[in-house]
This record gives sequence, structure tokens and C-alpha cells, in this order.
Amino acid sequence: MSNALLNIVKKELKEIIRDPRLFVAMILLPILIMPIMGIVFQGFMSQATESAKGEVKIAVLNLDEGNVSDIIINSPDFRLALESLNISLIYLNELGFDSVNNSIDYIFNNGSIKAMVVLPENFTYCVIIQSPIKLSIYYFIQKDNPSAVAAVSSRISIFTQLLKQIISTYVILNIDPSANPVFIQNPIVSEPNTIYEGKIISRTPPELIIQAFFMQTLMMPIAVMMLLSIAIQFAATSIASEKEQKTLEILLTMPIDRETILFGKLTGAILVSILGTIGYAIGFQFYMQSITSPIGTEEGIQINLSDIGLGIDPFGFILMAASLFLSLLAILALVMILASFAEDVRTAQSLTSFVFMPVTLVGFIAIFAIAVGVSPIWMQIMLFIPFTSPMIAPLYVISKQYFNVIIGLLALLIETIVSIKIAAKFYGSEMILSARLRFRKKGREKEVE
Amino acid sequence: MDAIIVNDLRKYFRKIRAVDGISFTVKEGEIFGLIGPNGAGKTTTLRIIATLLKPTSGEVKVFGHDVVDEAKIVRKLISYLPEEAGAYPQLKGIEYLRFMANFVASSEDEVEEMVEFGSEISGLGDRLNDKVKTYSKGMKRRLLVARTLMVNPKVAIMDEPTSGLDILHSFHIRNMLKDFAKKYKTTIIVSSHNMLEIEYICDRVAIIHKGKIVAEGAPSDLKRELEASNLEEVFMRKVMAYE
Repeated sequence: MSNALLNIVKKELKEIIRDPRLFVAMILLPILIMPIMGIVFQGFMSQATESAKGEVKIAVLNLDEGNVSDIIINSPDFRLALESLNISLIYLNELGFDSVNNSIDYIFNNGSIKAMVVLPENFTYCVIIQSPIKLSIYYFIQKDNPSAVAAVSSRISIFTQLLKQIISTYVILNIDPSANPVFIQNPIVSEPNTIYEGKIISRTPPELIIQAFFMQTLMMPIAVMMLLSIAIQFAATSIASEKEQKTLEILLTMPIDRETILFGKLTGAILVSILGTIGYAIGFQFYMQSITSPIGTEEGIQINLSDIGLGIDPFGFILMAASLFLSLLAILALVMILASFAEDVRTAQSLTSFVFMPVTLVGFIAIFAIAVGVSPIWMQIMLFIPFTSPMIAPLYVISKQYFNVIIGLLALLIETIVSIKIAAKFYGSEMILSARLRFRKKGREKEVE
Repeated sequence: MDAIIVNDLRKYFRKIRAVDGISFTVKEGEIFGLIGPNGAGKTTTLRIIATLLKPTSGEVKVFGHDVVDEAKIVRKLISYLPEEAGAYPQLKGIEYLRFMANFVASSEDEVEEMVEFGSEISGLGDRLNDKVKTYSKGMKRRLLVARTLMVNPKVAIMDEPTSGLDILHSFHIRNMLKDFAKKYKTTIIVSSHNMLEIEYICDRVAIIHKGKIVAEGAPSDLKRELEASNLEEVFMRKVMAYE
């Protein structure tokens, strides 16, 4: 490395280490944020792991006209294996159910049963003739705990695997020791069905529905987070560039109210953000069209996600837009105050990053919470916070829980009024001109002429 | 009539006494100079008159209106040029003048009149159609001086109007100020380090040091009183006597 290059590198490193803004933004905050994110994620993951470890109730509806199915599911080996895997079977026939539809209604209302396995009428016949048995499996997805699907899905997989082994053993021992190896290897053909919000989506595995659900509930918050971050940077730059270009003093002596200057700048930032929002809305519209258009499953069956409650009506759109608009106003008003402490654009961006990084952390936690499903209380709290509200609101809108969104909007309205009043008071005082953050006490006193 | 009355004005920034009990009066149509070393309190005084800062104590009136209680009225009477002022780099010179005129004028015709007047004062000609970011420091200062005067204010407050400019630009601005005050009877309060400039354009001056006024009067009277050959000598003697 040449001396000159080394010299520059040394200088750069010194500047970074000695500048408290860069040091805090580049080194300290990530050091603090990462463990916090780790702790939060660990909390969510342990919650998800606990639910995966816990007991899973699987209902069995036996429509078999013969008796082989009874022998198999009551075999001690099968029951012992299921018990060791924390799977408990609910025998619907013993509860008096003898049809799929009645059973679905019962399970949906029961809430604790996660899946149903239907043993077909020809179960015994298929075993005897060694023809694959068609097993219908119904998965019950709950919107408030979508992550449980993985746990249920894995238990069902174990259940069918065990059933295959028991059937194969039964056939070899009791029917034909030299049975068809193809049948012995795979005596069952599973047909997955999903019950989502009480609606039956035939021949569709739950993972497909969950994928669509996650796409819709996660993509929107991420898009909102991006929009807010652009608006924050724009607002911060707007006021800081006035200071950097030395135009603020003249502007403040114009015969206009200080509030006019504040609102002028807020409006400018919001107009640009609205342009961004329009882009977001157009993109979202395309996205909604693509997600709500019929999706083909492996078997060629088509489902329409808008029919199963993943669509958004005009009122829902209005609520989402209101949440976004109020959040923008509240956040930008506070950003305008914060940026006033900066002497130039670079400092303003550093300052907003101090605030924006923890806020982003909250945003990521919100997205993560949506993904794993947290308690409704936490979701409602996030609906009251300006930054997370527009990220969470779509989730409530999709599930048609408008009342919660409206309550969140009222809280947001109060917060917005308060933050604008604080900003207006700040702009009305001489602090707008004299405010500056000092990271070092010595050697940076303001020079007075 | 008194255009500006400053009475026992004090402004403290925590422990720093930027302005420490100064009083002076500027008459209508007068060019009044504030001179003093760095940190004397000149800019703070001008900022208070311009309604940007609030006094810790004392009072300042512009044509009888208090700068704190009647700030909105005072802002209609004044036009302020800070020492380190800038203009929006992405605007053309003419657009900048129009943007500023829009805050003051009551009609579109008045805006255009002000812009025309500002263009004339600036002497920038066709360069007004170029973006401010292409201007030299001197051109930018001329634009800002033009912006200050084009609204024909009752009081123009100018902090170091020729700060950092070369001889040609300084000469242009000095003459512009003197001619303007004479022609429109505008009251001008100006601060400067340049004693010769102050002596040339001001009717009266106040020497300010460590937040206090150490001498006040017409340059000729001050020179006579101290038997000094120029204002710089007056300034040095007064400041040294105070130390």
C-alpha cells in the first residue's frame, strides 16, 4: 500500500471513529440492535417451537364399510407410536358423526382440532385387492396462528407414514405374504384439502394458502415501510438543506406565519410521498389482481383467494389510506423538528437514522409478528403506533376487523395533532434557528457575533 | 421619527453575554452602522431587530412596534440580509426574486414590479436567467442585496453586506446602498468589519465591544472628538480603552 493511500485510509478511519454521529450510526446502533432483534425473534421462535412440540389433535372419520380400518387404527403399535409423538386421535364416529360436512362443521366450531383424516368406504376392499387407498385429509387453518400449519402438516405426514407401515405389515402378516411390492411400498394416496375461515378449498395443500396469506400480509408492510423511509429522508433533507444553503434565516423573516413554513414543508414532503403512494397503490392493485386471480393447484383445481376472504373492499382501502396519511403527518412533523437540529443535510440524515433505525427494528418486529402470529393485544398496540399502524392496518382490513382499525385511527389522529402542535410551537420559537445537537462539549460552542 | 429604538437590550446564551445592555436609536432615512470585533454582539443585535431571536431583557421597537409582541407587523416593515445568506441553488436568479416577492407583494402586478426593480438593482442582466448554483460569490451577494431592497422596505437590516467580496463587487454594493437610501429614504442598519466602508456609507455609527456600546455618533464627530484621522483609528482607541 503506498504511503499516500495509507495516509487517506488512516484519515478515513480516524474520521469514522472520532465522529460520534458515524460511530453511533455505523457501529453502536447495529451492535445494540442485533441482539435486541435476536432476543425478540428468539421469543417468537420459542413460542412457535412450543406450539410445534405441543399436543396435536387429529380427528378420524371412518367411513369404511369393512373392518380392516378399525383393526389398523386400534392396533396397539399404531396408538403407542402416535402417543409418543404427542398426537391424539379423536374418533368422530364415536361422537356420532358419519359425514364429512357435519364433521367439518363440528371441527371448525371446536377450534382445538387441527386436521381431519377421512378413511374411505372402500378402505377394507382396497387393502384386500391391494389397490392404493385414497385418504382425504382436511387441514384447518386459523388466521391468528398461521405458523401452526407447519406443525400440523408435519404431524399429518408422520401419521400417514405410520399408517402406511401398519397397513403394509397387516397385509403381509394377514392377507398375502407375497403382496405386490408397489402396494406395500405405498399403500396410501393422500388428498389434501384446506379449510380456511370455514371455507373448503378442495385438493389444495394448506402451504399454498399460507404462502398466499404471507405474501399478502408481509409484502404490504414492507412496501409501507419503504414509503415511510423515503418520506422521512425527504422531510429531513427539506429543512436541513435550508440551513445548509443558508436560506432559512431570510425565510423566517418573511411576513408569514412560522406555521405556514412548517405546513409548506410538510405538504411538499407529503405530496412527494403521495406520488410514491400512488405508485405503491398502482403496484398494489396489480399485486392484488395477480394474487386474487385463480391459482392452479397441482391437480389442476382452481381456487380464488378473494373468495376465501383475502380481498380488500373500498372501505378497507380508505381505512388503509387514512392510516398511512395520518402516520405520515405524525412522523414527518417530528422529523421536521429533529432535522432542525442539524446544520446540514448529512447531519440531518445521520440524526434521522438514529430514530429511523430503532423504528425500523419495530417495523421488522411487526412484520415478524405478522408472520408467526402474536397475541391480538400486541397487534392492537402496534395499530396505535404511527410507524407500525399502516403496516398492521391491512392485516385487520383483510380480516374485516374494521372496528379495530377505526380505534387505531382515532389514536393516530390524536398523536398526529399532538406532534403537529409540538412542531408548530418549535417552529414558532427561536429554537428553529439556534437548535443544534452537540456531541462534544468542548470546542464547539456557538460563535456569537 | 425614530425608525429603530433599542433600549437596554440584553441577550444571553447560557453563560455567554452576547449583548449586555445596549441602547441606541436610528432615525428614519438614516444609514446606521454597527461596528465591532468578532463576537462583539453585532449579529445578535441585528437578529433581534429582524425578529429571529428574542431578547433576554430590554426592548426593541421598529417604527413603534415591538419586535417580540408585534413580530408579524415588524416583518412587514423590515428586510433582512444575514451575513452568511444563500439562495436556492436550483432556482434561476429571476425565479428566486419572484419567490421572495410573492411573500411581500399583494398582487401579481406588484410581484412583477418588485422583480423588475430587483433585476435592476442587482445589475446581473441576462445572468438572472441562469440557475443560482452557477453564480460566483459576488453575483450571489448582489442578488441577495437586490432581494433585500427590491421590496422597498421601511428598514433594511444588513449584516456584513460586502463580506468576502472583491473590490469591484464591494464597490457596486456600497454605492447601491448609498444611492438607494438617498433616493427612497430607506432606513438602513448595517454591520461591518470594514471601517472605511462604514465611514463612507453611514450617517452615524455605534462601536460595539463585548456586548456593550463604547462609542456612538457621526463618523466625523467621533474622529473630531478623538482627533483621529479615520474611523479605524477611532475604533482601535475606543476598543483599547475599554480593555
